[in-house]
Amino acid sequence: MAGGRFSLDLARPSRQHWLGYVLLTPAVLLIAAIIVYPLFVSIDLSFQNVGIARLDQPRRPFTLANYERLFSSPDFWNACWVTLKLILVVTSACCVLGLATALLVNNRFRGRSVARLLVAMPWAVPEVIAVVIFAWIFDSSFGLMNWVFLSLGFIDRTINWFSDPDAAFAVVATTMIWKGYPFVSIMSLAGLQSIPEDYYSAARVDGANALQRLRFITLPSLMPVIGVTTVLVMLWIFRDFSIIYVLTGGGPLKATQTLSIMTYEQAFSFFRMGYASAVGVVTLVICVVAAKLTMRRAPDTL
Amino acid sequence: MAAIVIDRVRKSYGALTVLKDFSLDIADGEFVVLVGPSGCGKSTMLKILAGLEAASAGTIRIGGRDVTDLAPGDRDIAMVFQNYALYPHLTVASNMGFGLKMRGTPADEIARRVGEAARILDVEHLLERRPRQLSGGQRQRVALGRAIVREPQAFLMDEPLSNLDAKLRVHMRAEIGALHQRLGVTTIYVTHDQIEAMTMANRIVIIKDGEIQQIADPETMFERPANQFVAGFIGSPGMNFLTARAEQGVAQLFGTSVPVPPGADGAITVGLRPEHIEAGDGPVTFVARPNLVESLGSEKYIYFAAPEDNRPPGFLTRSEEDRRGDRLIARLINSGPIRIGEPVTLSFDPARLHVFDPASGRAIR
Amino acid sequence: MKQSLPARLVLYASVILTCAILVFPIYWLVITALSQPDQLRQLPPKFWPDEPRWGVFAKILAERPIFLWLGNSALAALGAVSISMVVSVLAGYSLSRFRVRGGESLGLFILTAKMLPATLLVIPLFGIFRMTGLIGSMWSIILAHATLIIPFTTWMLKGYFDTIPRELEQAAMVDGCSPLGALFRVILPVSAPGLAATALYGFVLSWSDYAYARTFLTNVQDNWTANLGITTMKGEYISNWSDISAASILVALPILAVYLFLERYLVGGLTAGSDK
Repeated sequence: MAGGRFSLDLARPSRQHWLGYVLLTPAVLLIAAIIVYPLFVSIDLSFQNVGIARLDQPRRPFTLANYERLFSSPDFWNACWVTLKLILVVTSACCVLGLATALLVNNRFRGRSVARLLVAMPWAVPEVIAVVIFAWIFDSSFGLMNWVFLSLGFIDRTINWFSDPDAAFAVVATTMIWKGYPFVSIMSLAGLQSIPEDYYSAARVDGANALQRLRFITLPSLMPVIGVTTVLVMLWIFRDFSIIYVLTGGGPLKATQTLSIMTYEQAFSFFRMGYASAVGVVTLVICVVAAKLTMRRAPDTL
Repeated sequence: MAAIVIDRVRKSYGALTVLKDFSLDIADGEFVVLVGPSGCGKSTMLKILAGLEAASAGTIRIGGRDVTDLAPGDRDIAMVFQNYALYPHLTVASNMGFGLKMRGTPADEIARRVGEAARILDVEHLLERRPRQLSGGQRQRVALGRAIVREPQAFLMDEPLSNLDAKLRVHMRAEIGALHQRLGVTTIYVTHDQIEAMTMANRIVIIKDGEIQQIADPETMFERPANQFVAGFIGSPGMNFLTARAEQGVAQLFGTSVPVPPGADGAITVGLRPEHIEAGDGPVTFVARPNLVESLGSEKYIYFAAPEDNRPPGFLTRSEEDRRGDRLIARLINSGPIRIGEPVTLSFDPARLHVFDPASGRAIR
Repeated sequence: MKQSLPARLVLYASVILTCAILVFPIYWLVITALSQPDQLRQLPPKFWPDEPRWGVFAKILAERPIFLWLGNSALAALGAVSISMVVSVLAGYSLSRFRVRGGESLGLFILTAKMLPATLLVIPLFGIFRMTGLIGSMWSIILAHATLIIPFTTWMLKGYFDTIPRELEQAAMVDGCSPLGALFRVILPVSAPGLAATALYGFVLSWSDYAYARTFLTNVQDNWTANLGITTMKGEYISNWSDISAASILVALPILAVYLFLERYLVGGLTAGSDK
């Protein structure tokens, strides 16, 4: 050792790896305090019969009642079904719309950069504002949508969008699709731009037409990006709170009540935080499983 | 300027050992090249010398001072990187002066030394530019400039020329050599290119799998390789290897008895450099049928099969496909016209042969 | 390759049509804000108001504390992004450069944390903030937003640092910097675009939050964020769509401006690592 003097000099070769730990410490402490600890609290709450969470009071006795009630509750299974339906409808629409718009603005034309900005613009609109827009468009008395449908002859009476279960679901889905497709579009466009031009030249030389080039070069090259993006969109729908809550509050008749909305309702409308935590924990487990499944495929991109 | 002593340095990552008891004495002002295939540990050794990685065992002394656990900045060395590692957010002048600024050198002194280094390297007109506005060769010069303004005890260079195109590389090779002549600073230079090693080094250190194979000046390295690996690594095109049997100081090669060193007995591997095969008659003459001829203008590379009894080592274990590589090469200067498939008379001097023990690869002399 | 004229016409037509349909909701928001309230209660609707009511923005600013809401949103975002950036820069750098024991599991946890539903975390945070008396304060919202932002920023920055050659800080250390000095004098200045993109993304995350604001701040009107303020307007007995739209435009404007002028940075951060 040089000089044998004691020092905390992290520049020394034998100490350099210590810095890795030093740098991680603030993040680890903060994450422990505001993410890990709350996570444990909510798991703990889910095993207690708690109304309003009070951490300064002694713990209630351990019980599985919340989970028993949960799995026997039709509301829970309804929320699962609504969540699944929403994920299927919104994800597939977002993928189709996102991919189509990306392919469109990937063409070479004048004003392309403006078109790219416009196509992905809803991404930048805060969710709550998107809700305001669509709540007004789907307004039952003077909303644009009723007028369009009446004028086109699709319906003969105005639809009361927010009191009919199926209609409300459609409104929620529409809003989410409008807010969600730009993400797919942005990601696909980045993917499209990373496909080497040589592939297309080679395909042209081989006599492939535009459709064949799409089918045999573009789509296969995009598959990894689309796969990851799809999962991210699904997780977004899974977790989303503000769109549904502000638009319909989960109603009517729980037709738009997803697991997220149910968790929040139980906690802050009915003040059954133990029960709500149980719903949340189940949601979390589903998230973790989804995360594990995705991570195996694309660890860098989440 | 200082002598450098590397004493039994070892480096392992868990179970993986990348350097095994590496010892090397470098004289003051010497230009030493560490060379070997990628992954041999040469770059790791340089990083340990720089203090960027910790040795698992062993000591390093620079100018008599034990620097084994000294911070890189306290070792008084300068380093040139393969990708130049110029600071993209600083001008050329600030890049070159950064190390001095870190040491608290006064601004006018920094300006003076940067100016001088820039003059030596002919980059004075670039001082206000940013690295991204420079060509590869200019970046290389600035990286060298950053090293020399520090006036360090030693230069460490990690493959500094491998990002340049072939022509520029030859040019910069000469320039680094001239710079070393002029400044006389101890330099340790890492490369995988044996031509760089041969042309620049006072001494070459050949490394394979974390072990030193041979330490010698370029001539000795070429003429008296310590083992088969060194023999094959140095020289281009590479040395031809043949199998033979040695009995009482004699082995059969191309159907001729040739003398081999007394230590050789039984199966041996014989090495013969392509440039030591000549057209026409000589001490050992044979006839070959070229299966490929490459003409480079001033010289020709003739490819031909080895005789049945002298197949290259490992011949039987290779697939049919691989055996195409088992061709011998002769490098002929001033030969007459040679055509594929037509017999040509070749010869060599048995004194030029190298003999290796096939098991250990060690040279037998 | 030069396209034929009909092909170009079809292309332009579909681009214009697509953009028109997709951006129409935003256009409709603007038109609604500029229309007289009684005109909105007429069918057929007018796609351009007879006399645009430009005064609506002044009116809504006078009637509602929009600037207060925007200021609170900005404060929450600034606080949460600052805290998150400090810890994520250090952690992201560590995860990118050092082989730290447990580093990989930490990375995995952070990935998982990105998927935590806010509706789950909001319950224990509510309990914790009630116990510590932070509920209703700006600190509650700043810390809650940090739970949203830190996982994203740490991971984005790790990815960004991965693209910066290690030789840069090695050169700095040989030049006499300490490891921390190399980070602050060389790596961070070089990473400026990545830092900007990451901070911007964190800003958008914070600005978009509704769940935490609704839960922690509802009872403290002075601390309402923009999103919370807007939803209270929507919840009123008779919705004045013109006023709500005007307020919404003011709230969406900062993010839209960021998007329009810094789109390259935002998108760069969003797609980092996925386009290889």
